[in-house]
Amino acid sequence: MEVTFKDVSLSYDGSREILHHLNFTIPEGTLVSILGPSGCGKSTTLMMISGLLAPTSGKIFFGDKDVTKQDALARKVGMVFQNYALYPHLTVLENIMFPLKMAKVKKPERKKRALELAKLVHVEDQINKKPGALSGGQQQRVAIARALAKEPSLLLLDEPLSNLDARLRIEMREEIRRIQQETGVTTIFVTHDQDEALHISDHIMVLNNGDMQQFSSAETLYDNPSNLFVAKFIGEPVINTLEISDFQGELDQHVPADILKNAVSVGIRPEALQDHDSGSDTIATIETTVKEFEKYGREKNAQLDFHGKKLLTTEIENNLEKDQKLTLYLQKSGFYLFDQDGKRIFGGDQDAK
Amino acid sequence: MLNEKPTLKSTGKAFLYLLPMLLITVTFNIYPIIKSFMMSFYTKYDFFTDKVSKIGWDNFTYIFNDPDFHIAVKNTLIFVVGVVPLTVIISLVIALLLNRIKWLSGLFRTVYFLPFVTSTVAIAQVWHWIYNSDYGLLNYFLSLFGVNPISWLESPKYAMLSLIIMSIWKNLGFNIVLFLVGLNNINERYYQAAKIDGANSWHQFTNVTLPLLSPITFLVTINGVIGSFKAFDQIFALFNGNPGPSKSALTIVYYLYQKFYTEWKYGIAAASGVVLFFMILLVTVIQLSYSKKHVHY
Amino acid sequence: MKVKIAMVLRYVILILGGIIMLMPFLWMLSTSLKTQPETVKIPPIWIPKQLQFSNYIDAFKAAPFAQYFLNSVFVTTVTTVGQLFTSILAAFAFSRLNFYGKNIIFVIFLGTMMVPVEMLIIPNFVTLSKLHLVNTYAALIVPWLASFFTVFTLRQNFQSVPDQLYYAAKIDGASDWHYLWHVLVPISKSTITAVTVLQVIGSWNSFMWPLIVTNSENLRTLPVGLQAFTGDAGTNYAQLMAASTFVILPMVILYLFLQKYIIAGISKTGLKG
Repeated sequence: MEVTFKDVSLSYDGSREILHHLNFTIPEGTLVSILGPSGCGKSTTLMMISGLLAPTSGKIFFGDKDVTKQDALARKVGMVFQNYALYPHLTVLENIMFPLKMAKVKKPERKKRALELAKLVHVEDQINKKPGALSGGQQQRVAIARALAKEPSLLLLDEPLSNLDARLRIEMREEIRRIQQETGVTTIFVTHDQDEALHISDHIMVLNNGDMQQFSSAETLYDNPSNLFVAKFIGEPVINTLEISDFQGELDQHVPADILKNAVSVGIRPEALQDHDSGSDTIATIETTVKEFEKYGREKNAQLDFHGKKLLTTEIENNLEKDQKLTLYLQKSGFYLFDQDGKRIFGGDQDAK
Repeated sequence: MLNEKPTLKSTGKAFLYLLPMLLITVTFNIYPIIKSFMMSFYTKYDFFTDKVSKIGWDNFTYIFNDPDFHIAVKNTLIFVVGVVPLTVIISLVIALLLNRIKWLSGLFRTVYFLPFVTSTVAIAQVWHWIYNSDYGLLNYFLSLFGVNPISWLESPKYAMLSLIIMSIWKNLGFNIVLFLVGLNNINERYYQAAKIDGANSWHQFTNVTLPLLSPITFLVTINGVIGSFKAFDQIFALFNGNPGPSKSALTIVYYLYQKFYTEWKYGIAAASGVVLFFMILLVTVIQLSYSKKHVHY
Repeated sequence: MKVKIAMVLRYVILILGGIIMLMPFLWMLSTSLKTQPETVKIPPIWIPKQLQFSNYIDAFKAAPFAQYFLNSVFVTTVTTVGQLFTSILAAFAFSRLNFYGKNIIFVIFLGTMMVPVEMLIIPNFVTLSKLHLVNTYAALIVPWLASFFTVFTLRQNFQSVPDQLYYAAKIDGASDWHYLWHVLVPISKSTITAVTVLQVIGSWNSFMWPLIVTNSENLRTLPVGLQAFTGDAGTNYAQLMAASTFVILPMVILYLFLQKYIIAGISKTGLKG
C-alpha cells in the first residue's frame, strides 16, 4: 500500500509542535526506514501512519483513500513495537492468532495461518511457550508474525532491534529484509541507527526536530546530502565540518564566486582527503600538519591540523610522522558547501534529492 | 485515537462503562451522604411519607445534651486509645521478629493473620466463652497465678478492656502484613551503609528502620483509628446485643444504631453520624498534617 | 553465642504469640466437640473423651443454619461478581478513556471513600423502604454492587499495564471492549483475585447491614443467624461453638488456599480493614 502524507503537522496541547508540515509518499512494496536522532518525531510519525495518533492538521492517504479520520482499528496495519508488546498471558501461537480472533476468523483457519507464520519467522518449535520464556530475538520474531497475521497492507516496525544485542541485531535485520521480500508487504521501519537503515532499506527518510530532512536511497543520502544535518548524521567516521572562514583562499579558484559568497559551512568526507593526487577528481589542495597518525591493519587514519582546525582523513598511502607537513588533495566527490540555512549549495549532484 | 480530546461521543461511550457503577454509587453512596447531612436537621420527620415538617439544630442540641452520647464519645475515644497504639507496637514487634527469621516464618504469618478472615460475630462468641467468669479459659489461666475470677463481660470496669483485647487480637495480622511489606521495601544497602558507619542494631533500628517505615506506621495508625471509631459488630456480638454492662461499651456507632433501629429517631441518629464523620475527618486532618512533618516518604 | 540466644528468643516470643493467636480457635474446636458437663469442667480439658460431632447436628437442628449458609453463599456470590463487573468497567473508563468530567468525578469519588459507611445506613434504609425492598435479598445485595474502593484499586493496577499492549491490541483489531476482556482482565488476574477474595471475606462476615435490613428468619445470613442463635442456645456452649466453627470455617479454608492473593492484595491496597 502506498502511503502519502500531505502537509501533516502534529502538536500536543495545541502548542508544542512535534512534527512540521510533513510531505512524502512511500511507494508500495518497498522497505522504508525513518531515521533520526531520538526525539526527532520518527516514532510519532509511525504512530500517525498506524492510526494510533491523529494529526493536528494535514491529510494521510493509503493509496487514493483518505484515512486521516480512521483509527488504528480501521486502517488494518501490522505493527511491531520496541518492547514487542506481546500478550504475556497468551502462548506464542495464541499471540499470533489474536488479530485473527479479533477479525472473527474461524478457529481451525486461524490456527493454520498462525502456524504458517510461525514457520515463516522460524518460531514453529516455540508455539506453546509464553512470551516470558522466550529470548529477545524470539519475541521479536513472534511480534513480527503477529503483525503479519491479518495480512496487513502495511507493516510498521518501531525501533524493533534496539533491545537486542549486537549480533542478534544483525541477524534480525537480515530476517526482516528476508520476510519483507518474501511477503512483499510495504514496510516502514523506524530506527536511530544509520547502519540498520542503510543496510535494509530501499529508501531512507531522515527526520530531525520534526522536519523531514531528506527522503532518498541510502546512496543518495551519502553522496548527495541535501543539507548539513544529513551530511553529519550519515557516514562513519563523521564528515569533517569547517567554517568557510577557516579557508584562506584555497577554494577561490575552484568554486564559482557567487556560490562561495553564500557558503557558510564546509563538509569534507574523511575519504575525500588524500595524500596523493588521483587526478581529475581533485578540486583543490590544502596544506596541513600531522597531529596524529594511527595504523591498524590495513586502515590508516590521520588527524591533521588545518589553520588551527582538526581534520580527519582515512585515505593515507604513506606512513606519516607527527608534526610533519602534508599536502592534501581535496576530492570533489566528498566535498560540500552549505549556506547559512545548512542547505547544500555546492558538491555532489545538484539535481539529486 | 490516543491524542484525541474528549468529545461528546467519547464521553458518551465512557459513561456506558461507568453507568452500572454510577447507578449504584450515586443511589447508595453519594445521595445518602447528602441526605444524612440533611436528615440531621430534620426535627419533625415522617419516615413513612418522607415528609419533613420542621428543620433546625434541635437534633444536635439534643445529642450534645444527651448523657448517653457523652458516654458514647468517651467510650469511643477510650477504645481508640486502647486499641491503636498497642496494635501498632505489637504488630511492629512481631513483624520485625518475623522479618529476622527464615524457618517457619510463613507458618507464623498464616497463624497471626488468621483472626482477620474470621467473622467478628462468630469469633466474638468464642471470646464470650473465653471471658466466661465461671468456666472461661481466661479466668482459669489467671487462677493459676492466684488471680480471683473476674467478671469480664458483666462488670462495667472490665467490659471495655475485654473489648479492647479482642479487637487487638483480631486486627494484629492485618497490620503485621502491612509492616512486613514496609520492611521488605527497605533496601538492604541502607543497613550495610549504617553498619559501615558503625551503627549497632539499636541505632540501625532507630536511624534506618523506623524512619523508613514511617509511611507504613502512618497508614496502620490511620487505618486503626478510623476502624476503631466505627466499632460496632464486635460490641453487639460480644455483649449479645447490648452496649456492655451499664453502657460501658456504648460507642458512637452503637448509639447511632440504637437511635435509628430501636428508637426510630432518624434525625438524632443522622446527627450522631454527622458528628462521627467530622470526628474522623478531624483526626485524619491532624494526622495528615503531623505526617507532613514526621513521615519520610 | 549472642546471635544464637537472640534467635532462640525470637522463636520463643513468636511461638508464645502464635499460641495466643490460635488459642481461641483451638478452644472453639475443642468446646464444640465436648459434652455439656465437659464444657464446664475445671481445670478445662482440651481433648474431649469422646468427640461429640452430634453437637454440630444438634446446632443444625436447633436453627436453620443450612438456610443461613445458602443465603450467605448466594449474597456473597452475587455481591462479589456484581461488584467486580461494575468495578472493572468503571476502572477501565478511568484508566483508559477520555471523557468530560473525568477528573472531577474521580476526585468526588475519592472524597466519598472518607465517609464512614455507618453514616449512610439511615438514608439507605429509607431509600430501600421507599423501593419496597427492605427484607428482601435485593436489600442485602444491591447497595454493595459497586465499591469505589475496588474501582480505585483496579484502576491503579490497570494503569500499570504498559501502554504498548493497548496500542498493540488496537493494531490487532481489538475494540476497547475486547481489549478489556481479552487482554487487560487476564493480565490483571492476580489483583482481581486479590480484590475478589477480600470482597468475599468482607461480604461473608458483614453484620450490621444484614442485621438492619432483614427481619425474617429465612433471609438471615450466617453472622446474623448465629447472633440470633446465641439467644436460643443460652449456655449450651458446645452447640454455640459448633455453630461458630461452621461460620468461620469456610473463610479459613478460603484463606488457607488463597493466602498468597490475600496477602498480596493487602500489600497492594493497604486500605481495606
